[in-house]
Amino acid sequence: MTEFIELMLPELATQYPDLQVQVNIAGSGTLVNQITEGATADVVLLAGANHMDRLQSANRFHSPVPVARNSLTVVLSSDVGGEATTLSDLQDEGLQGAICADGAPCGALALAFSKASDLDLSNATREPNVKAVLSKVLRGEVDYGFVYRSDARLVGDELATIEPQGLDLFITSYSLALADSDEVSLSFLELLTRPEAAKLLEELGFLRP
Amino acid sequence: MRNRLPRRVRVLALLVVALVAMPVVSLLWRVPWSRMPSLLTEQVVRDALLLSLLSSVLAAFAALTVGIPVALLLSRMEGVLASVTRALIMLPMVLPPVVGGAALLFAFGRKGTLGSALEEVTGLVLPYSLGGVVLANAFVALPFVVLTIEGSLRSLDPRFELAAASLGANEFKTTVRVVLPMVRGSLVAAGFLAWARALGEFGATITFAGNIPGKTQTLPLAVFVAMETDQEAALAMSVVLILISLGVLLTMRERWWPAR
Repeated sequence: MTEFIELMLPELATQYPDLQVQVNIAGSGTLVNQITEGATADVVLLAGANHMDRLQSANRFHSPVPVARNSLTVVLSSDVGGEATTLSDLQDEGLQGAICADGAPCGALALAFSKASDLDLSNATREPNVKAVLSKVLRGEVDYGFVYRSDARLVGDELATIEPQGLDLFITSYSLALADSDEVSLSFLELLTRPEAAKLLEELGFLRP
Repeated sequence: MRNRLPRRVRVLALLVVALVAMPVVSLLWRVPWSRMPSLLTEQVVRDALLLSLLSSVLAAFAALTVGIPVALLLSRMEGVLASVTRALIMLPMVLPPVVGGAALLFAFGRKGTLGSALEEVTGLVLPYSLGGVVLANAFVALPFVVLTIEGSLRSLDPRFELAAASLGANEFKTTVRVVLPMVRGSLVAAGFLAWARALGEFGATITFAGNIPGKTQTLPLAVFVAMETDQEAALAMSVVLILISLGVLLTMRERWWPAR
């Protein structure tokens, strides 16, 4: 989402040249903790319905509007890229995996998938966020990692991916909540939900909301 | 007899002490005390607590073992070379732990300069193992060991060593039987200080050793994860860390500053 927001902000700036935008980028759980402990925000973009529920129950934000959805894929480090092709290969060879921490939506998805399939992820390292998982795979410090499709798309052909059956059924959704329905916030919402934005999101590897 | 402090200095100092205590008190205020026993016996918490105790004790001993020779060497060095060596050894103390962890990864990681050779020759992989946690903890604890021991070595009266030598003790015997026993107190203090530092280690551990529940997830890492999933468990674990740290500071107070 970082890349998407960075591409959208210049558009907002053309509408409101004098607007000063402050962006606080962090995992959804961290953001909700910050807001429930008193941080202020005009708009909040979160992944994962549970985090949005926590935000809604603690603060007076307007009902969230879905912006995009995302699902996971498994990226392989260049060391294993050619050889392992299925998840059971990864398991049998005792390769080192990485997933997001339990509280992050990407971690929750990976753990839910592991529960539903017979994939044992108890030995995978739980990284603070999905970018940390991706960089560990890129550096070859782990052999495979569960990352969002959009993050796998970012590194392009650099990493091989495998698509375990059923992994695409585990989906997280991003939604935007506004603190006030002032003009700028509404314009931002309009910007993120119009067809051009949806097209850009698809190019970045996201699913339509 | 010392003169009385000016009133405004006393008031300001007490205000600062209150400000420092405030966050800790506020945290304790939020702790669900009645649920403490059940929170602390959760599997994840128990695993993290045991792993933290084990890895921090091992790291303290490791830091002591390698720190003593370094402190001995530094206490004999003078001039620019001594300053440079000391700065190098102290670096992990001021470096952001995440940077320390990344540096460890570049050296001892699977793709690291030493790590890849180590894996090739012995099959040993340090990250994602207890060894990796101990290495990360010892790395950040080492400066405390060296600093503490070097200080008391420098204040030793050199005549004891001369006496031992004149009585026929060789260099090794003088060091082990005369010098080190005389700084026994600071060895203990260094060990406890290293242990306390290792127990609270977060950044280097998660960067270098990863975060695998039951394997490399120490208490601070478990607190970090629980802050987003189970805040009450995070608070319960924080209480344990606060109590242990306070306990160390209070027990060791006479080692760091003279008792009144």
